[in-house]
Amino acid sequence: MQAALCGKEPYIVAVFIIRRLLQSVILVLVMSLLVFLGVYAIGNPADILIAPDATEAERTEVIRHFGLDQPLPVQYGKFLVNALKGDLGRSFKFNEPALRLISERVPATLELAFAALLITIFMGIPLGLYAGFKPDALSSKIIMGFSAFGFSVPVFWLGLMMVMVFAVFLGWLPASGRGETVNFLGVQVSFLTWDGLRHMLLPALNLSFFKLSLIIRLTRAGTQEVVRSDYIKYAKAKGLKPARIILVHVLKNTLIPIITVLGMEFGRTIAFATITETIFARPAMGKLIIDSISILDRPVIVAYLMMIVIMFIVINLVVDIIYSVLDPRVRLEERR
Amino acid sequence: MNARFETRRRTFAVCAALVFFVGMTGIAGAQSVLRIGNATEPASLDPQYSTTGATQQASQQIFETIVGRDRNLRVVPSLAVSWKEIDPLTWELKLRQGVKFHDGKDFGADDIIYSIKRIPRVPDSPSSYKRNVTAIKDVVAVDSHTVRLLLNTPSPQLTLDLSFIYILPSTTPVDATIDDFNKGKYVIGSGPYKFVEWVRGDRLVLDRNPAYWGQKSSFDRVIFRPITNDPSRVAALLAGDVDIIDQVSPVDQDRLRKDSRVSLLSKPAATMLYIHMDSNRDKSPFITDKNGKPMDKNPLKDPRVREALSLSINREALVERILNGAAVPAGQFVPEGMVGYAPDLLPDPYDVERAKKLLAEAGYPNGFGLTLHSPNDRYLNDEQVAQTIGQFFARIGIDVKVQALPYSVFGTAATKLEYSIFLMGFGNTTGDAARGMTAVLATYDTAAGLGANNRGRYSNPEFDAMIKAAAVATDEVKREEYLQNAARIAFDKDHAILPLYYQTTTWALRKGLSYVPRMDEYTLANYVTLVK
Repeated sequence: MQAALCGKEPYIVAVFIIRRLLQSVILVLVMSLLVFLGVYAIGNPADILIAPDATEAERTEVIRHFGLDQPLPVQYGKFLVNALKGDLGRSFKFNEPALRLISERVPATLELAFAALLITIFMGIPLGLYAGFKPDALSSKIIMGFSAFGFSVPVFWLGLMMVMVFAVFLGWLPASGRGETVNFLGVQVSFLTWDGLRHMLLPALNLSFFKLSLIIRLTRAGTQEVVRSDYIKYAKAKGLKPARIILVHVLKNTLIPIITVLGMEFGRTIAFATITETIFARPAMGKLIIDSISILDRPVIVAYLMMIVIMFIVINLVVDIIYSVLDPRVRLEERR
Repeated sequence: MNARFETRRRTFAVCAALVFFVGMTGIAGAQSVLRIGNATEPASLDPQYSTTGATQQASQQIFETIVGRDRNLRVVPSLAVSWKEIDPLTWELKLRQGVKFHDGKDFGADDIIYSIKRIPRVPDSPSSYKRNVTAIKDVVAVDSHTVRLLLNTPSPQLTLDLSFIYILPSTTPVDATIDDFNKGKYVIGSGPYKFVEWVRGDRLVLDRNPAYWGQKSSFDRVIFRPITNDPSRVAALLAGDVDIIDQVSPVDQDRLRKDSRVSLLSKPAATMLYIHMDSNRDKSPFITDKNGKPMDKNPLKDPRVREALSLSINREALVERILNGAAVPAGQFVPEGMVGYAPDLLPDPYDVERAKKLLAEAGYPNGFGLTLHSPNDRYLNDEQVAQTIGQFFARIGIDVKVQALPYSVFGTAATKLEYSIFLMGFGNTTGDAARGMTAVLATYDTAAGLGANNRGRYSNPEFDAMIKAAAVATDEVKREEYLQNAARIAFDKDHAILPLYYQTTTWALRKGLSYVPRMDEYTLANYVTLVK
């Protein structure tokens, strides 16, 4: 931050962040309203949740208890009031606070998403750089072919194939589950145990496949473009070591689009890694949201989507700040 | 003894395989572990919270009910060893001696009283057990192992209700919350297993209760792992991650049948799939003439039309081709073995000629048009079944459109009577025909709690009379007769709904294990045995 900004820059940064936060609040409110209306439009949670042979008296009681007999604006109003107190409602199905159901699963999802991100960064970028430098080499062509494969293959099929090959056929890795967990800063995490890591390898690979392919291609395209530019030729002429050319000059200049994509993809991974989570039977957020939608467990759906919105906002903020670090030409105040 | 697979191939990384085994067993040592892969997981560990099968499956391992049910869902003694009706409003139960809860407390009348009184107080349950105790006005202890139940109304079927009442120790604090239970506090029952750990979405770990009075577990520890995705569950079994899986889909059954490491066990389950028709309204929303225009007369009101539709369905082919044999054709509400099954009511034969004749007799020689609705995510291959039924109808001259929707939309719309004819299922979890026939076929009467699922509004006073008679009959034999007569009226005479088939439920176990399948689809771990 200090390298790109100086003097009264910190003031500009503060204004920028505050403006962003205000926009976020509005976004979150709009989102919650949309979800409320959306769930209401799909169907009546009462019909799904209540046992089919419940008596009429039981149905009325349950409906009244969940507040579903109130007019919609009243329900929404109550929800807002509670939300300000930090209570996003209790799940209709589990009768536990929706926020708690979600936050129980956050560590599992986060560790998987981060693992996928790390794989993408540390495998994708080097491979893309290599393919960009030596586009005609056979190895580069193989890398590009592999990335095309990664795009076209459905995550579902790939996940099942990985399970069949590595777990059933070869027996190297477990087919599903999260494995041993330990307590770390108050949450249960599995990446600190060997068993946990073994359970994480296949799903993380599965999750990262699409992103990997994307990043390889992006990096390669960016590298090819940058390599042709004058300042690289100048650096070579100056006699700089190739390593320094690559790492400092080429990489930094190709990174902006890559960071954008990584940021978006990371958010998407956290929110919607459902397929991978379901195949590998990991207790995580994606599965919770799908199940909740199927049974119209409205408090969970609303809480979940609001959290996702906030998360995307934070990610976007972080990405923008990284831009300004990477590229001194970008000034935060130019963002509206 | 360790319950796990041998992996079929090892590579050069023999150490990887060793690590695999150590990881699987967890604790090195002589503890025998059974790992079960379930398609569902419990909503809560409070056994009085939810009646859904998924939650009861967990409750059944740790807790016990006042009376039990065998694998055909017939009532058997459990915590109550005998019961008798002293007068129509008073029942006396004799309780089992020498039973202890997992914390050492002796079981007695006080626990029965506490548990029955607790049920109405369990808050916020969408599928509560309240209806199982509404008939009970009060419970009193006669001595430490005898209780009297004082009823509001005569309830000849009280034992059925008692089989849904799970017993907690009377020392459970009155203000124990559902959060307490889900964290494991107060999860103290008298059942074959003691609670160890629950990580929602990942595993439920239970240890053998060595002091259990009933069928003792063959394993020291049982781990239930929810794996909702069908192929993943099968893969987990084949990879050796679990030893048993339930709800094996028909597609996987074929594959597993050929695998020598695995054995399959099936049983007709309680769920019956049927076609529900709007037999009440003159103008039905999705019935048209052959030109697509709405009609003034609703053909589904005519029992001959309904019979014709039933005769047009080739149930055998449906079961074999669409469900891969994982079902049994149905002619009435409950399968053989359940109370109320009438042996003379066979599934309608496949008779296209007669179907066409009946249609013509009813005044529709060229057929008419309809839209068949169906859920697409609730029952096995539900959408494909609906498509197939549509084809069958088309063969007798009906113009058919099929609309399949997620249950969250379909359920609401069907209840609001927005459809004319649709595919639906009913779970006969009580083991007899009364509940199903009352809910689906009795004349709709919300005050009396009848016909809650009667979305076609079928109404026949003769049928209602039979159902009422069965509800108050005290003689088991007479009661079954009434139910059978009701079935004959609804199915043979009126074709009120068109029963299609009973889903069978299938388990897959690794070789070396055996289990006797149950109609309620529960996997009771203490009945899993080792075979040579």
